[in-house]
Amino acid sequence: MSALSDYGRPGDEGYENRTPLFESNSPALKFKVYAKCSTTKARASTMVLPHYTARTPMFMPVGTMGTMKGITTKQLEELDCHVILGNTYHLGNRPGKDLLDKAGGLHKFMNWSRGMLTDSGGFQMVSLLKLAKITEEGVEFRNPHDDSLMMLTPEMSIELQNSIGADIMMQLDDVVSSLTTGPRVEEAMHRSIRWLDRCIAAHKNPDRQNLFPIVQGGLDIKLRTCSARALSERDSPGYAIGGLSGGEAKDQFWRMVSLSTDILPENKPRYCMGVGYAEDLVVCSALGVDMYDCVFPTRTARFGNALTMSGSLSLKSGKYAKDFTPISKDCDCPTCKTYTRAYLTTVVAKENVGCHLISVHNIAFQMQLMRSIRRAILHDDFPNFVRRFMSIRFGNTVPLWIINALKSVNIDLTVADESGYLATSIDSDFKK
Amino acid sequence: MTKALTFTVQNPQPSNLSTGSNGDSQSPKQKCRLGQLEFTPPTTTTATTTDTTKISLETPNFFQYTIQGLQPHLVPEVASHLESMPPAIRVNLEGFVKDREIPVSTEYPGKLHQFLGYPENNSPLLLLDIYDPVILERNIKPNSKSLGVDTEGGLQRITGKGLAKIVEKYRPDIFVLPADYVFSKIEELYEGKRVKKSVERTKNWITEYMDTSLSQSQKPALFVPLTGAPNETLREASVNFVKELDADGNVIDGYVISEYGIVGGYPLEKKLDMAWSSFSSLDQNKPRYMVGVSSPHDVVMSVDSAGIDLFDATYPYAVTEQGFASTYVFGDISVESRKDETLKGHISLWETPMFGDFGPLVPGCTCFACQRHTRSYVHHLLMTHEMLATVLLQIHNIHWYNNLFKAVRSSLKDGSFNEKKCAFLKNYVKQGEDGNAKYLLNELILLQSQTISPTTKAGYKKFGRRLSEDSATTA
Ligand SMILES: [Zn+2]
Ligand SMILES: [Zn+2]
Repeated sequence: MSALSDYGRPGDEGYENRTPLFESNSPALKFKVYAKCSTTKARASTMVLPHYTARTPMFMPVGTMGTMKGITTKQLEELDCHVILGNTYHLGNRPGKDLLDKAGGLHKFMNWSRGMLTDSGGFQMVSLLKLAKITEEGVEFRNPHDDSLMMLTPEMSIELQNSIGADIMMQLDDVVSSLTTGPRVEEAMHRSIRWLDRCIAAHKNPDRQNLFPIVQGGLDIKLRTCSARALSERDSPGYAIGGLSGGEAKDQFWRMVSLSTDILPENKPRYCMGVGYAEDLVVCSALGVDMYDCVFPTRTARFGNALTMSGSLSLKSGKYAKDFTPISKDCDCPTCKTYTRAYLTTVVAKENVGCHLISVHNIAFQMQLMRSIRRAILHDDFPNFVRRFMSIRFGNTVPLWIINALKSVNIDLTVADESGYLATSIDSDFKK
Repeated sequence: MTKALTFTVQNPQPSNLSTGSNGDSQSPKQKCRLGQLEFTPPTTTTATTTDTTKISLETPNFFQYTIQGLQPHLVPEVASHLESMPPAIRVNLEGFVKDREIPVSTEYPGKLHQFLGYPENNSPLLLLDIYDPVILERNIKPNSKSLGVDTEGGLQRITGKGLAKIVEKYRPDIFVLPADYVFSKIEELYEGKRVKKSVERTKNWITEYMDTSLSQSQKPALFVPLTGAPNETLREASVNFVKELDADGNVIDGYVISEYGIVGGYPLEKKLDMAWSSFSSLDQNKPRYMVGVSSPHDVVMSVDSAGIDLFDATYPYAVTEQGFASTYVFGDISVESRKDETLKGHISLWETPMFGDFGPLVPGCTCFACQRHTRSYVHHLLMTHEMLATVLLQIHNIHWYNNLFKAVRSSLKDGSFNEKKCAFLKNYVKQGEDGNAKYLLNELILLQSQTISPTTKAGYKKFGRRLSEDSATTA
């Protein structure tokens, strides 16, 4: 059995000389599933986008303002990033729609030639602007600069996303917190479907940009089922699972993800929004998710935290001042090949460049993890991979939600495997 | 034993005898010079081949200014886009000092080069100095036994003996011997007492350093700071001490003139005169390194008036921290497409017209930033306080600075230095409204007008000011 780290090395993941098991052909997105795990719902696929052919399951780092934490687009390519994410609300403020139109879109503006995805701006608005009020027309908010009343409608979101020109755009949805219950959740779910149809009607570039609907319905099985069914009828190029990762119990989170992937069309990509912790990526991939995004890996780097399989290292703390080993000896990123933890400790607190070094590693860490997931699926070794991953990350006590989620896709961590590994549950969410 | 570090002075071609545009005739003794600094790294224990790669540096040139061995803002894979940079870096010891005299990083088993991430068989020439030249104000209180370093945890003292231990562990290729630099205003200097003390302390510390035996087989080359400004007698005392120290000519490998050592606060011309008077009675075949003076104007003047060979290259960093891109040209500016910008010395990427300008920072520039990105994008990055702004600007500014030195050297070779120098000074030194000269390329003026870097973190910060948390911008 190969070491876990062998799976993350660049190069052949196992796509060569295979024909797709099934696929979908949308005007601007061809999704080809090359392998399905024989035990779980995981699959390894390619997604042909106008700018790049991405391999999934994949993680998409977030570059809010058309840049990522001091990292050049050349570095992002070298780090094996396939698709990056931009935030529509922020880009609409700066540099603004007119300039993006003049520049010929965000790809050209920032000089990025691979895949790009933009959110609708709705979530940012609701979370950043306390005064947001949602009506059937759209999201109403006060302009933070002159206090005037403004409105973001589905049509405006799409118009702006058309100007940005990302390969994948998100519908404007009626965002409610995953902790909300009652009729508001149902209202939001139905309104999101109505807004989807307005988004589809407003979309000017279906031949070169894809519009993804977002499954809503909170933590309610009936509502989520209804949403996923209604969206599936639209025959969209791909689907997002939204309204989660907002502080809900993890045991409810995975059930909503799994429910959604059961209903959404098998030959279309599925994107679970706002997910980025390593164990979440492994579990959700087992549940049949193909795409993820999260600000966490780059944000935490800014605070001097480096990600590893067994948790995160706080390089600011001085604990590693005499540790002359790399962040991870299995990592092939430029930072780990060049620097020790002790060195990083001397630069990280003082200088931007220290953050760049850790951001590079953290992005590389996410990309290596996704490569190792894809490779394991393509070699039909994913269940073993999952078990080894969990043993390294948690040892013999694994959070209950993970045990439950994996059991639902036929991996039982509580039963010993041939290596003798088994786990008991701890009834709390794993905190990094 | 042959020396690892050698320096060869090559006299430049005599300039055309035509008078300069400012009316001065050719001075009888030309001070500017070309040279070749060569370093043969010690054979490594792990190297399988016997051939050692010699590091060679044509002078005038600069040691790359680094923070812990890295160009400001640039990780190695980004810095690798810079072409034909001098293979020499400057490392500031104070960046490693925290709560003890001998930094923890000395426990690293390899040399400082390797701790800083450079491969054993392909490291740049590494010069270790004590103070970071971009920090101009300090609280340190040296005494006769030890110098001081400001750290986040307060003052840390280091003795000559302590320095010897640090150097023994770090094994830099060049070490700049300690000096009691006077970080104070010029009026206090006139008093003379403080300066006198500084000359004595410097002598004591260096003597203690030299007396502490070093066990390593190959000791670093030693550069010695010249002190004693503004007092002629004290300057002479400093020079005499250096002569004693270097009685056989094999102890000292180079001389250091420092903004805060010999020449603090004076007009550049005066500084250079004082520097020259110290040099003239010392070995003419040793390299002269100037610290704390690195603007293009000052470089050209220092090469011309004091025969300086090596500089510290903090200027591009200062330009970057402003959100500026350098545009100055030493040589023929008629070929530049934006002559108006060339004549300003730099452009500000903050300015509104940059918003929709999809051209490169400088038309025709071959740097990574200009080849791949636009003014409009850099403006956007500045406005949103994104760290990539300073990454791209630093790439351009250091590339541009390197071009200046290439142009200076080639003009010394083909005899056009004097003519180009005159044109350069005419372009970049203007008469101010108050009648005083206005230096468009003055590093200190650039720093004074600065608010705060668009992307630097709060807290302990550069250029001698400690920024309050609330006034600092964080991305
Ligand atoms: Zn790494
Ligand atoms: Zn350039």
